[in-house]
Amino acid sequence: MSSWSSEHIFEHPWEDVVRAAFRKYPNPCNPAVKGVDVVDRRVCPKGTIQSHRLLSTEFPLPDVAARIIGTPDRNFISEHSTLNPTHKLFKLESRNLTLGHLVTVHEHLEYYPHPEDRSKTCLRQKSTVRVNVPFLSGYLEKLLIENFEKNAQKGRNGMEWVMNQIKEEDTSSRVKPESSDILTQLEMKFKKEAEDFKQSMGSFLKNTQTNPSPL
Amino acid sequence: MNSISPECQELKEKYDACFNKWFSEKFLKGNTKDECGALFEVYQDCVKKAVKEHKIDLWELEKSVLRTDKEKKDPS
Repeated sequence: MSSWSSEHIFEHPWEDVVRAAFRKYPNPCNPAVKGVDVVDRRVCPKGTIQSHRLLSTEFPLPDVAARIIGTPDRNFISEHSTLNPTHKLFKLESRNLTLGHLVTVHEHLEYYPHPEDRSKTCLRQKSTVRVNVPFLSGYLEKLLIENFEKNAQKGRNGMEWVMNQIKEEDTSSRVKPESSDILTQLEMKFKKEAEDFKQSMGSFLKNTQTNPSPL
Repeated sequence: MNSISPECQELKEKYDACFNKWFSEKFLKGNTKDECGALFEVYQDCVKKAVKEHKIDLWELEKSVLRTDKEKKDPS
């Protein structure tokens, strides 16, 4: 068995990061993820959210490993998570379901506020891989581990992209009420001017009838 | 994002929209009462059916055996 771990800091508060984590896919940085479904979700009496999601991905093996282990059409992954809003901790754990008898990839992620700066969020990530192919397990595990950092970077870039999308949505939903205010004000102004014009035309016509032109 | 089954796509989109809105506007502000339960029930039924049809063997977390019938009792 081989393992890999990393830590990363997002320049965003925890609430923004976890909103993005629930909506991570689709994003252009992680095109291998093809489907996500919620198998189970509970809001527990303690106020935590527990979720079980099923992800469908292309099988992300390096070429050499793929030739030995195989390339199924779809790879399924089970992901269990617990989000605790009181302790501001979002923990996720996932494992592949496809070809599990040959290769097991187990991932742990934790998102929590930066202990010294609450405007930032820490991500601690650990992955373990076990390959069950005689004579080649060490070599294949090393190959897969080398891919983890590259894939983790894609994941973080994907999160940044989703956070930007959410920020734009939040901004446009705040702008909309002001736009409708402007339209309402313009409408009222036109109605008033039409009313004023009608009144002045009425006075003009009345004057004309009372004092006909000498011509 | 796609569902693993096209039959569940519309149900998934409705549920995801409800959950994302509730999560950001209510849950993260302290209101933890679930408002998407009805939508989730219908969506979940569809997903469970799809899991069965695809013969997917899900990874379920082991439940703790303490305080259940499976816990071995002290013979004394």
